[in-house]
Amino acid sequence: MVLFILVIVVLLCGCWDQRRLKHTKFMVTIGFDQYDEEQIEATTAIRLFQGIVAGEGEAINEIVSGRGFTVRDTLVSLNRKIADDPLPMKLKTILVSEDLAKKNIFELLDTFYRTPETSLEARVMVTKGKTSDYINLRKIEGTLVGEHLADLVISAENDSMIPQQSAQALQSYLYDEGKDIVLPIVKLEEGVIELGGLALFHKKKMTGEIPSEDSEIYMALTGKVERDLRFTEEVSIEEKKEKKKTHITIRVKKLDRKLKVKTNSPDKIEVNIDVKLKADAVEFPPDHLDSKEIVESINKSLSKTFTERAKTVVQTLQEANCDGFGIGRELMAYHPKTWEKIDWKKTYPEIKIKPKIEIEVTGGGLTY
Amino acid sequence: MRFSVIGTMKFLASVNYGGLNVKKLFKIQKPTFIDNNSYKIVNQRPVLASEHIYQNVKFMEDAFYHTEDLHKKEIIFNKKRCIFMYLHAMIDKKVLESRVVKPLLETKEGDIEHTVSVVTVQKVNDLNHVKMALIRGYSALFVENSDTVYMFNVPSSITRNIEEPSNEQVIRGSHEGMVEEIEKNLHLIRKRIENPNLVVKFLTLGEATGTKIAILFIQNLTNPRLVDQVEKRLRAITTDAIQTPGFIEAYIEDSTFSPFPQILNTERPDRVASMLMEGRVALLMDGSASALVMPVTFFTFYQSPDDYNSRFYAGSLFRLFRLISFILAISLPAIYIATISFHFEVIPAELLFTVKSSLENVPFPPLIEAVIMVIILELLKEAAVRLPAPIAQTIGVVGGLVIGTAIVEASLVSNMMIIVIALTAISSFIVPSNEMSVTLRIISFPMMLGASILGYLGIVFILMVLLMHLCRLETFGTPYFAPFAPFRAQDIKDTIIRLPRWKMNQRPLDPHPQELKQQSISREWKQNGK
Amino acid sequence: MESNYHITRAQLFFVIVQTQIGIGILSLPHDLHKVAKGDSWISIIIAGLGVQLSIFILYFICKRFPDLNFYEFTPKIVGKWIGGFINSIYVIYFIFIIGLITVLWTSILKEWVYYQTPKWMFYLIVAFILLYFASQTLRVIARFDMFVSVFLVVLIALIVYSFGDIDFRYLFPIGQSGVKDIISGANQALVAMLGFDVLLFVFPLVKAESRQILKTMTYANIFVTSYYLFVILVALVTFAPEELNKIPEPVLYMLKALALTVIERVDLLFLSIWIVSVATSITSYGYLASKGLSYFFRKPHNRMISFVAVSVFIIAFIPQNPSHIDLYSQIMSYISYLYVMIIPFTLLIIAIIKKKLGESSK
Repeated sequence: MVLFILVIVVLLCGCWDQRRLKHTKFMVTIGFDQYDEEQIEATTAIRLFQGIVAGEGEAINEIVSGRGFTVRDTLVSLNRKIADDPLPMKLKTILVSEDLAKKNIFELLDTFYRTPETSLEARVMVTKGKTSDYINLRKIEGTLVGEHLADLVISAENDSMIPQQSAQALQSYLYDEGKDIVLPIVKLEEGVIELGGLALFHKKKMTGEIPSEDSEIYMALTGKVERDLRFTEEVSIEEKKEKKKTHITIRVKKLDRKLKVKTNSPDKIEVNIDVKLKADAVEFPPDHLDSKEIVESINKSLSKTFTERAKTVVQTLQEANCDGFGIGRELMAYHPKTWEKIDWKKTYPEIKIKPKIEIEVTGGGLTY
Repeated sequence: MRFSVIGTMKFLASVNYGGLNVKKLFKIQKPTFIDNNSYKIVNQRPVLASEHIYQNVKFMEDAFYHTEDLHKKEIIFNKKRCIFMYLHAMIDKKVLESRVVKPLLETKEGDIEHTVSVVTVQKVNDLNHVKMALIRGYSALFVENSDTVYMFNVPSSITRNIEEPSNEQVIRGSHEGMVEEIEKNLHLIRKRIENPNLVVKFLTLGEATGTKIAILFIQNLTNPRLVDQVEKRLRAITTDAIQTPGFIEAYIEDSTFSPFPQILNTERPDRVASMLMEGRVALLMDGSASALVMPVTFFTFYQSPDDYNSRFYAGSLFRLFRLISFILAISLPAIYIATISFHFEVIPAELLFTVKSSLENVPFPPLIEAVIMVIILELLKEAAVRLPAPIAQTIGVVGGLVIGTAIVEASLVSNMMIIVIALTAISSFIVPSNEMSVTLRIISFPMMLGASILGYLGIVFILMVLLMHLCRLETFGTPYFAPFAPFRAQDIKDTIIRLPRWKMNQRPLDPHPQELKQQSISREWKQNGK
Repeated sequence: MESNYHITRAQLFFVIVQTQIGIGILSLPHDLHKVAKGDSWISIIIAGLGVQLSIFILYFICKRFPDLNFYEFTPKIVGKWIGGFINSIYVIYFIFIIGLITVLWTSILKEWVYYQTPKWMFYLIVAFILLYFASQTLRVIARFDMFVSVFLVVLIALIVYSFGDIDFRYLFPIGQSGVKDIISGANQALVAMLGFDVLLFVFPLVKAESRQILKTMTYANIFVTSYYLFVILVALVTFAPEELNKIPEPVLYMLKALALTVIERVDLLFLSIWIVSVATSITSYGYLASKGLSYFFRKPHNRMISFVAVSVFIIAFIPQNPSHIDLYSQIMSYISYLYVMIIPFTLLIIAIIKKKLGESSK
């Protein structure tokens, strides 16, 4: 009898955590801008469905914005404007405007790490200009803006133009003293969203940027490349004592990168980054890649150019005090005594980093 | 307890005390039928026949309460009056006329036993025995001035043709099914196991119906304790009527309250034969085409003769599908309900929007939707069973198209739910055994309930309870969930997959047969390179 | 038709493994890391060795009484009254362990998935699990444990799949934490590996020779230690040290970020499977506790289980906030040493001395 009553009680109480799917709205993208001294403004795109019968009708975006002192505060104010609950579970992208990034990016992301219902697969990116401009575009070529951005970034990751940075991966970097984060930048020109290079951070603040032409070099230096990394570069080739200048596009087949830290004393820290690339040529109008002379001259020329560019990239990184290669972590792991004696914040811009890139063109594709 | 002094005296008097005819010493009363107002036929005292033929006949007529299908025929044989009595409905008239009456009429003298050409002839004194025999299709012959009654077995049998059972059809394999008469069924089974070790034991159950039950087993293979156990449980049954083997099942199974069936019900003689060869015991009942086989495990219900008649790839694939269908049938609606009520983050974004849009206009929570659909489905199924064949097809159309589509368009149920419930229903029909199919549907209800209260935790909890129940269930001393529960690796080869026959060198362990080895190397020709 | 009580060696293996792997696995990397940092994995190995030592002690004392379980042989060693007292404190210990598991389990589930479901609902579920599962015979429990051990492999597969950015440099330099911290970490780890004390009570029920039982226990220990070692290593190389100090349940966190093609929040899947492991741990302890009670009240152990269930239900309400729970955990981890090492060791010594005295007096 008691069991029966118990069962009935349990059933009648209902289900506390049930949420009706009908009464939810999913935010696809959210962007944060500085509103004034104290407040930030959040703009979000919510995916809706127009049409009575399931299966017909089209998807549209509803754009809402809200203000608050912190991110959660803005979400609450969004809630006041949206019927049903807006949920951050299926966020695809998180946009942060450059000004906010320069202040403190981690403040914005903290709430996403604390609550279990957010999607940590969201890609974080820095925008030039206000994020609300981007989101207010609503649709780009038939795709909703949130998804467009996400796909843009994901395909760029696959092409090794930008590092893979989901919110989850960011968290490790934010907590690690020996690494700094590097995020993609997007810019909006004449209604077209484009990737605009990489934003360099020192700890939680944005301190510099690398232009989009050099972002591939940065990727090569980190050694974390996916398939389809391509470079186009000017080369000077020598054939039978004739020098010519032309352009070549290569696609990287294999990349080996070695990072060595040499240190005898805390004052003298030297880092060598050696990258060896094996690539195929995918565009080379002068042809004759079967001639050893030509190939060797290409290799020499490319290696020289890339090494120069790498040096520029490294310099930019050091000026921005951004330890994008995880050198600090290397020191911590393998040279703990040196690590204890230095203050990485101050030492990093002073150390000598020598990048070297060697390229070997191994083939020309289907033809020579 | 009807202790009749007269009866005992009659009994004592009927014993042959070494030739001395004690009967003549006492004054024996004439056989009178005492009506004890009970319709049961147990505890019947023997009643001696008298030498007066008409007293015997009167007894028989009284004993049958003057039923009008009890017929008499009078003939003269050996210059004495003889009266045949028989139940018209139970005998084969032609056999009686040609084999019994005709020889007696032609040879007007002689010994009755040696004149009649029927196989079974009995001579008895006990009128109760005669009464019970008449019921079974015997014909009794009373002779003037003799208290010996002759009985001839001339039964008629009316059965239907041997055709494939409609619920257990196979693609490849024998299409014979059992019929209602126990003799014919025994013939079908003996045909497949031509072995004198196949022993049949008859029992009578049912105090008012007198149903004949046969226990079959293979001597020296089947575990004798199993046979004893079965017999013990059968003899313990005291009831008026046994109408179907389902009644017997309820009496002898180990846990009636478990949702899982513990005895296999089959109408195919080839299945019964293969089960017997594994060391199990089979029960046949006169009047029903189903045989009961015990002990069985959970996986027996997922075997079909088709698996063995095909090659092992096909057999294994079918088995796998069936087991997957089991999991789907119990858990699919529950998982769906839990996912869309509690945990919709699990669904990837693109799919989520589709699901959400299909739910947009439905007023009910998912559990109610599911229950509505399941009820409609069950109603359709029951209706289809009752209807004659041509109309049943219409129900298919009505159910499928009209109700399915119309309900979605009226936004009472979402179309995702229809898909889920349809898949579940199909999965539950895949099971070869009808009872297990019902079990699956029963189990899916608590799962749905658990899912709607607590989401995934609820599902996992109910599944755990189910698993624990399966682990503890034992039938006739065999664990129900073997070979998974007490893990017996060697028996796996016939459960989830079906290894080629020549690999199955040992019988499954669960009925504890006396002899495990069932074959040796049967493909020597291949090893020796032809 | 065998007796209803015996289990095979393989079944013993799975019972022990399932009892040990339970609630601890989720928060172990975090708790260890707070103390031992990058060398937590060394702590696990040391804890494994400690467990092995304890197993030896338990084995030797059980071997002296191969047909009696712990409740039966303590009175033989130290007399009826002290033996009864020891038995009763074991029963109380088990009941409190189940209470701790319940409280921890509820808090994790409430935080990750079931934010609004009230606590008593979870306690009710635990009570029901106890009532139904722990009242079965050991044989049935062993079959169940064997079957669900498949899911342990599934858990590992999920974790492997979720490898994201891993950085082995988090492990270096090895030995950075110093011996003292590593040992202290081993102390923490031992609590998560509790469960082998089941041996004391099921030794007579295993259908095998004594030496083989020792082998089986050793295999179980190796398995559990390796399992935990794997989980710790994965957590160490996926999360930066500072990060690991901030995330109480690193394994779930790792899975949360994983998005497979068909399902997204994989940590929900993990949690659902993990519930089963916790249930097996609860079942084992519940079985032991009710068996103990059955010796006191002279009734079969499945009647006693309701007493255990009610006690656990009440106990679970006592801790009100996280600091209470931490305190509860701490207390239990310290007194566990008493139960798995000190008392059996003392009993062993007394038994040896008694035997020697007995022999010398002949």
